[in-house]
Parts: sequence; C-alpha cells; structure tokens
Amino acid sequence: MAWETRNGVGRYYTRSKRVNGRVVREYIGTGPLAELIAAQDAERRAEREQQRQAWNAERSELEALESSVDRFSGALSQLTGLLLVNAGYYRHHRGRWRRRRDQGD
Amino acid sequence: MTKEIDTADRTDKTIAELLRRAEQGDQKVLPIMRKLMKDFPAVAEEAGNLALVVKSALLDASAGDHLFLREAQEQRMRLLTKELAGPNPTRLERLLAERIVLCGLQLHIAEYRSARADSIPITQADYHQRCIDRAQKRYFSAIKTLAQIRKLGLPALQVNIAAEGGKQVNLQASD
Repeated sequence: MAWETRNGVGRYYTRSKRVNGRVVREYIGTGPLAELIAAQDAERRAEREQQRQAWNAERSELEALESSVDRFSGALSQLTGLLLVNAGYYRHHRGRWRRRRDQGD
Repeated sequence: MTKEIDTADRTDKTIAELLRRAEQGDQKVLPIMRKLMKDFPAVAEEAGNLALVVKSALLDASAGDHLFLREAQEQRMRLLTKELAGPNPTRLERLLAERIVLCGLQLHIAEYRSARADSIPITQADYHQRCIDRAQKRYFSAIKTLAQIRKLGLPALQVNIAAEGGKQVNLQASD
C-alpha cells in the first residue's frame, strides 16, 4: 500500500491487488478520508502480521515438543528391542515379537 | 554382502541397523549386541534423563508459569506412572510407563491447542489435526509396548561381571 504523487502534485492513497494473476493498482483517493482508510489498512496489516508471528511461535513450540517426545520414544524403542533380542526374541517381518524355539520357555 | 558394524558407534542409526539385523536372525550381530547390553544401566539412565527433559518441556507448554497447575500436573503424572508401572516394576517397565504418561500429556496439549484455536484458517486447523493424529498414534503405541513387554514376561536383565578372584557379580537391570 502506498501514497503516490504525479509530477510532484497531489498525494493519492493506492492499493495493489492481484486480479487474474496481474497486479492492478487501485486508486483510493486523497485527503482525510484516504488518510483514514490508509490507517485502517495499516492496522489490519499489523494485526495479520501479529497473527502470523503467533502462529509461527505456536507451530515451533508444538514441533519442538513432538520432536523431544519422539526422541525419547525412539531411544526407548531401541532399548526395548535390544533387551528383547538379547532375551531371545525376534520379530517376524517387523510384526509381533516371538520367542525363538531354541531358547526354550 | 552384509555391511560391517562399528562396535564403538552407539548412534541411533547404528543401533537401529543392529536391531534390524538381529530381528532378521543375523547371528553375527549378537556378540556386538551383548557388548551393548553390558551398558544397559547407562543407556537406561540416559533414557531416564531424556524423560526428565521431555517432562519439563511438556509441563512448560501445558502449565507455563502457573506453579500450582504445574505441581498438580506433576503429581498426577507421578501417580499415573506408578500405577501403570505396577508393583515391583523393572527399570524398563518404569520407563515404558513414563513414556505412556508423557505421550498422554503431549496428546492432551495437542488437543487443547486445537480446541483453543478459534476461527483459524483451514491450513492451521489441518496442522492441529495432524498433530493430534500423530500424538494419538504415539500414545497407543506406547501402551501397546508396555502391554507386550508384560505379556512376554521379559526377565529383568542380568549382567555378569567378573570380580576379583574369579567370582561373578550379578547386576540386575531392574532397578
């Protein structure tokens, strides 16, 4: 969003928007009404930016939590697997753990 | 031809490869696995420490600076872990019970964050839903593992260490 002047004369508030893939400039106007619209636009932009930042922070936090739980879960799965293999169990085609026949009961 | 495994390498990737081969019945990896198992108490200790870090991060996310809420949640987690681990649990059972409780709290956080988010774009709602789905999957898998370990009746790991004078000292990994 910008204020535009022509040959150093006038001060027009404009908005740019995309129409059918092309950027089109919309002339809003000049004077106090244009100032008011520009202020409202700036407020909306700031609000959107704030929401974007809040969402990014929320997402980062959720991702960090997930990754730490995943790390712990992974470590524990490996530990469990090591213990089971050591105790004579195996997994048939990554299915359920079974005891090897030669290990006895 | 099978790839050789570096016995000194204890990274997740190597252990995962080792497990994959052991599960397929590759006898060659068994001596390496036995060597690894001697370090079980240290590895379990490490997993326990990791659980503390995860717990603290989850409590930060769910209770923040609200000390009373934090304390109440911590107390609830302790009781739940104890209840899930059952009487005389092995070290592994305790860790697996702890994992269930941590995964449960993470699922609760994901659900709460999703419910709290009002009038959000469809992409964000979708992100929350996928987050809940993954947390649910992890939670159920954690429950299944503990149940499976109980069903298999995995004995507490015993490590034999030769003491002075040729006598054997038995160390149990149960606590």
